[in-house]
Amino acid sequence: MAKEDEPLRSAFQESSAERWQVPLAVFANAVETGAAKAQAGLQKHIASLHLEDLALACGCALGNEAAWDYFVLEYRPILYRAADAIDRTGGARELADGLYAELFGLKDRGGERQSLFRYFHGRSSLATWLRAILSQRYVDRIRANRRLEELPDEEGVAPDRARPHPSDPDASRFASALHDALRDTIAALEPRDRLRLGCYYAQAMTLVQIGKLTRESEATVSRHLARTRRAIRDDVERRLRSHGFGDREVQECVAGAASDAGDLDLTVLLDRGRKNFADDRSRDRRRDPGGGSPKPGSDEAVSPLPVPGSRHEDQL
Amino acid sequence: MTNGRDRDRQHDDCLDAETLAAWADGGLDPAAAAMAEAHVSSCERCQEIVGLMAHTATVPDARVAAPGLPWWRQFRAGWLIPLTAGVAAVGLWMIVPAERPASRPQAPPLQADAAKSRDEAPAAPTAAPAEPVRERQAPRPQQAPVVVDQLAKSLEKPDASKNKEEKQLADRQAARVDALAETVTVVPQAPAAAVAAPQALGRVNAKAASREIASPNPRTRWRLLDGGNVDYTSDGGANWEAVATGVTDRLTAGSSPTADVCWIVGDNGIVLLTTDGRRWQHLAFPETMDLAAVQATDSRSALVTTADGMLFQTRDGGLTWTRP
Repeated sequence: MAKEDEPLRSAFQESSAERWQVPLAVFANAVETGAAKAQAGLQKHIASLHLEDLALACGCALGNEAAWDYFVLEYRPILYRAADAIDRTGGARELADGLYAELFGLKDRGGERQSLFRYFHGRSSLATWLRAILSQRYVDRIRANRRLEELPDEEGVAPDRARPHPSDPDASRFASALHDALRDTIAALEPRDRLRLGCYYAQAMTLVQIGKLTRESEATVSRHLARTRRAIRDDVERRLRSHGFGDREVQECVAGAASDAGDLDLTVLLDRGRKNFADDRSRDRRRDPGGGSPKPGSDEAVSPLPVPGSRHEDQL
Repeated sequence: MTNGRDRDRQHDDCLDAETLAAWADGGLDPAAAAMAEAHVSSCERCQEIVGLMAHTATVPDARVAAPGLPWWRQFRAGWLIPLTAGVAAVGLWMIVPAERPASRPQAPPLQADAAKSRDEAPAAPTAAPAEPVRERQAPRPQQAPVVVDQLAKSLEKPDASKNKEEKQLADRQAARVDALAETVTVVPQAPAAAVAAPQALGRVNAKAASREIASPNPRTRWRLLDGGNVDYTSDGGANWEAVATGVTDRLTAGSSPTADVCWIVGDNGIVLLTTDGRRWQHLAFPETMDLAAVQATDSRSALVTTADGMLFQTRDGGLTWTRP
């Protein structure tokens, strides 16, 4: 091995890969694949890896018995506990079992064992990766079921509008205006503000859990959520007024929503708002290449970011 | 309800599980993490996956011996399915809060009570360094008393000329005032989710000054005092007995479904329960946020409203909490 491969050799030793009889070349290949995905320099990439977990994954992918014994002993319980945490009725257990089979590599390709472990690159702990795959599969299953249930609505009533109030002819107009204002306001939020909102309100994550994602303390997440709510309120009012609503109408919009929220759904607003906002922005860019919509709670311009990790062969 | 096929068209752009895991574990470089964050912030599917990961993250690591999940980590995935119903009220909360101060311009001056609400320091700038949660639970320096009606007046409409800090302070103080006002839940059967009912808040204010928790038995009452202290009477108020709660945080509201049972909530996620009127049990709560209201039906079931409008429900005496 050449001198420039020294970091790999060092990582190999540190990972205890020899314990699972993983050849250096296999380990190096796993590291380099991850480095290419991370688009980072090899040395920097290696420094951030969970080396022992990567070595174990390599060992399991190779079918090393000792590695499998260790994995079964230490990680299968994690997988099952995560499955039980997701669905206490046992609904996620079969997903965990299926995943376990794929990890073992029951499927062969050209006579070669194909284990899911080949998609683990050590950028997270093995436990987190397992939970991510399990969560992804569970969510996709739920979404697939939801999709089937929702199909009849396509030909039904417009799903987004609040229910019209029979006794008040303005109620429907107010509800619709409020819905649109809220949608546009949420669409214009900073990604991180939107992330906190979605995680907190739609995903029922705790402040601590959100803070782990955003690298913020619980208190900071709480403060930002409070600020975002105020900003949303202010911006919704501003948008309503810009459509000719006076004080009374604004109050009635809010009061109407307070008495009947109708179909206000944050997940839909986040989702649809993003699409609308993207459309608006592309229109704005065509009209005014340097322009952009103001964002509630921020003076900065929106910079649409490319989506990382586009779906590729290891999309699980 | 959304066209599911539209939703799933986004899958091609979604993050793969390995990237999501790396992001969750802090294994992405700053640029990649920012991109991941930007995507997840507006991708329903990825957000659901991240949410689920977070809820399973508490599964003990294989190499760490742990007898079982902490009670607050015992997660049900039921939330994943009825998203629409659960979230409808969320949009409501986001647009309603600014309405609350303005709906109570006639709030009576509650000098004594307001003094209890002054323990919160002015909101730090949003980019302020993270403060450890433990520090939040420590006693905090007191500020000058705030007269509620002045505060309410100042909040009727935010002054554009106000600087950011003043506005934040006012908002936080308003939240305190709201929390105080919501002691209406001391009356059994009062709606805990009064946060979204401005008309209810007017009624609340009239009762806020007493800060007493009435039980169905007119002879039994509790009253909330400064510094986490509670007084108890079993003779209709002729004699008050100080009962130890073991906490020093500000107590904001209570609910007594029976003569012996009383639930009290306070700042920093304080939830207290007594089943004999005198001895208080400090129950663990999933968040350390300030709690504004509680509605209890018995010694096992209670609905708690946080200062930012989230609802938490227990049906097992505070062992586990769920979001209804």
